[in-house]
Amino acid sequence: MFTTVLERTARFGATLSSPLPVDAFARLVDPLWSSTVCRARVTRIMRETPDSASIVLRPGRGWESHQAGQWIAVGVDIDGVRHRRPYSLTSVPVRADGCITITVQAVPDGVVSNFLVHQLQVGEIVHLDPPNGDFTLGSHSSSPLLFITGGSGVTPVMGMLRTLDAADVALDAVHLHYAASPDQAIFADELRRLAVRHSGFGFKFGATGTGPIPPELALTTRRLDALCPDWSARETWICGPAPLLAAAEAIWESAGISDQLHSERFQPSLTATNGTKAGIVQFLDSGVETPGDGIRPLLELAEEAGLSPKHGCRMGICHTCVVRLNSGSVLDLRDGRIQSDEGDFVQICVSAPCGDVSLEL
Amino acid sequence: MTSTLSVERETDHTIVPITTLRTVHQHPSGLDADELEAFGKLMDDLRNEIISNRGKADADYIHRVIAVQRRLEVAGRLALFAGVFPPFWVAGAAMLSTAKILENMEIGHNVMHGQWDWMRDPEIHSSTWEWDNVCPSDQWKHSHNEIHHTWTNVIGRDRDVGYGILRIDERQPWSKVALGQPVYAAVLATLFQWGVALHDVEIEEVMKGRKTKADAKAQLAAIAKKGGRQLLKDYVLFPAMAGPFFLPVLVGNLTANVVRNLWTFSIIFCGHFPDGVERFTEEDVVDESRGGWYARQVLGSANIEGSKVFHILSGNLSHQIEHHLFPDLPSNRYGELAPRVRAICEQHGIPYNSRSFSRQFGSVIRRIARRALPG
Repeated sequence: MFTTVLERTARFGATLSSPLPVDAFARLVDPLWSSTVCRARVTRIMRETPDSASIVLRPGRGWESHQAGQWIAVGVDIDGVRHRRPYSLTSVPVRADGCITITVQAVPDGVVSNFLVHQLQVGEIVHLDPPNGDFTLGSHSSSPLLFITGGSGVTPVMGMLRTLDAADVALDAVHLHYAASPDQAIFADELRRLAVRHSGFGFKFGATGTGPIPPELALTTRRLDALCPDWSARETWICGPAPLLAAAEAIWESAGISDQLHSERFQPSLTATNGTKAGIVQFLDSGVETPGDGIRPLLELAEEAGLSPKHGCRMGICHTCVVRLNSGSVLDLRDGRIQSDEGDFVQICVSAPCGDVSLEL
Repeated sequence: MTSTLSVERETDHTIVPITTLRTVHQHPSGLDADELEAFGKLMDDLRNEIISNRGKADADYIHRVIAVQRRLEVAGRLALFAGVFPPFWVAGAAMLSTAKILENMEIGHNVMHGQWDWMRDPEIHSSTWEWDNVCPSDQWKHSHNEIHHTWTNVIGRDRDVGYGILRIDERQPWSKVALGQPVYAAVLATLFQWGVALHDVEIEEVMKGRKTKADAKAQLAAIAKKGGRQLLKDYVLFPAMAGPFFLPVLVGNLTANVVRNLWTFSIIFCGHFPDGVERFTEEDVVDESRGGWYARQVLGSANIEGSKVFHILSGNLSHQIEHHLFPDLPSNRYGELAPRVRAICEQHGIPYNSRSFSRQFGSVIRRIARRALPG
């Protein structure tokens, strides 16, 4: 009975505001009011390191609470243009004040990350997609845990540790964290304090410097044995640069316990392999053509051509961006795989055109 | 291959018939291929300049116009609820009329052209915008963006030349039916949104058997659905919400729709049909170069001079020439382009037609009356 009244009211409102949605008028009163999209107001910005910041957001109606370790795509308007990028949620899922926090590391030449870290102002409105990702603790909250993180790969793990801390359970966890230098290590102080408060939590930090990781710090079985002797008995979450993940995957596989390793890349390792080929990209549904250099992903090319394809993680994880290939070949920038069958579904965020391509986009 | 073509080049006051010997492929501007290429290059440069510097100020502009339009609409509808008191009725009808004009012209028309797609805001995007008009957006985008903007003023191709109802050009065949066209024009102006809605159904194409009845029926169904919703909103629901005062609301909404219709008709007809604006034949556009296309847009369009508010209310279609040259550049930039386009046109000997509203509209009225008669 009550729902029918609500539904009828909603339908009546939609007819009055048509052809625009009711939201178009509701946002005149409060920009966070919306029943179709989720927007949030920036309420606080906390500098974590010279190049990173945590941003506290107050989401409007429609926010579904996340699980620790997940990420959200955040949309911001920079110089009038909407950009969306994924960032890890570092707050506990349900804060008393209803806010959530993302933590952003400014990367060189990163338009969005530099804007968020250095230019965003309190009070601005950002756009949120629902939380996403399966890099979560799941049912393992009370198991013995091991976390291995590199650089800003610490961010999803911070969300997990804060959530475990808030749950007031006896923590049995070891965290190995790598960053270029101590002053670039996001959350290092908080993690040390956490180790003081929880006798069952050990935090170990390694400063790698810039460039390739020094051999004595590289992740090896011997080093793991020294830092965390019972590592093979722990459920392990790893997030960081590709070489770190590759090293861990090899170790866990040779120990025959790959199923205990949960990994997430925080940036795609997109390297065009040999055989890149420039060509013309046709977006058939939009009637737009743009040149492709064979190196840059289709999603970027489409955005520069003025389109706004649906997408999520921009790193080949979430499959929000898949579109059908009509003709031509595309190159998966992660592994050099070629797709060239008509009707193939292409992840445009990690695929570059290989010669002339047409897509149903 | 040459052909002799008699063309009337009309000036403001007099009609001067001139006979020119043209090759079939000669451009109506009289410019040769090299001159057209140079002209096209300058137009491309202007376009690229705006594309490279559009940014936050432009985004702020359209956001502001949208916010003002929605506030005007809400205020207008609220005032009409108190419409039994004449001052409220007048204020309400004026605000709602203005809101509908802004929505259709500066916002809807321009958003559907893709002028704001670069912002990548899914709520202000040509692929999603549905305007406050009985014409469904997808049909409008076909008849207007594809047909009219590609074939600007080409008789037989651009269906906006007289909207299939009015005889605009002496080269269009005359019949007795044309005698009534001053009346048809008045009816079309009053019901303009319905004319626009039926435009893309292309009834004459169906009658000639060049378009299937099923396609036309599907389009009519979409118009009926959208139109029905528009009628329900303006003539049933909002009046009913006023209870015993439904009549002032209904009349207010009707007034706003008619005012918007008359205004859009006037602006659009001033854009292409005043004296001095050329119309073209299909031979004129054979093998047309990009420079040739640009030049034809200038020859086939006319600007209206006026204040800043007038330009905004016309959806910046008062800068019709700049709009036709650059249909997908943000409308708020046409004003700064106009003097630069004009200077380049004058340099290249391409007539640039820009006059006051009263002069442009007066010549449109005279043309409609004149072409009711043979010749």
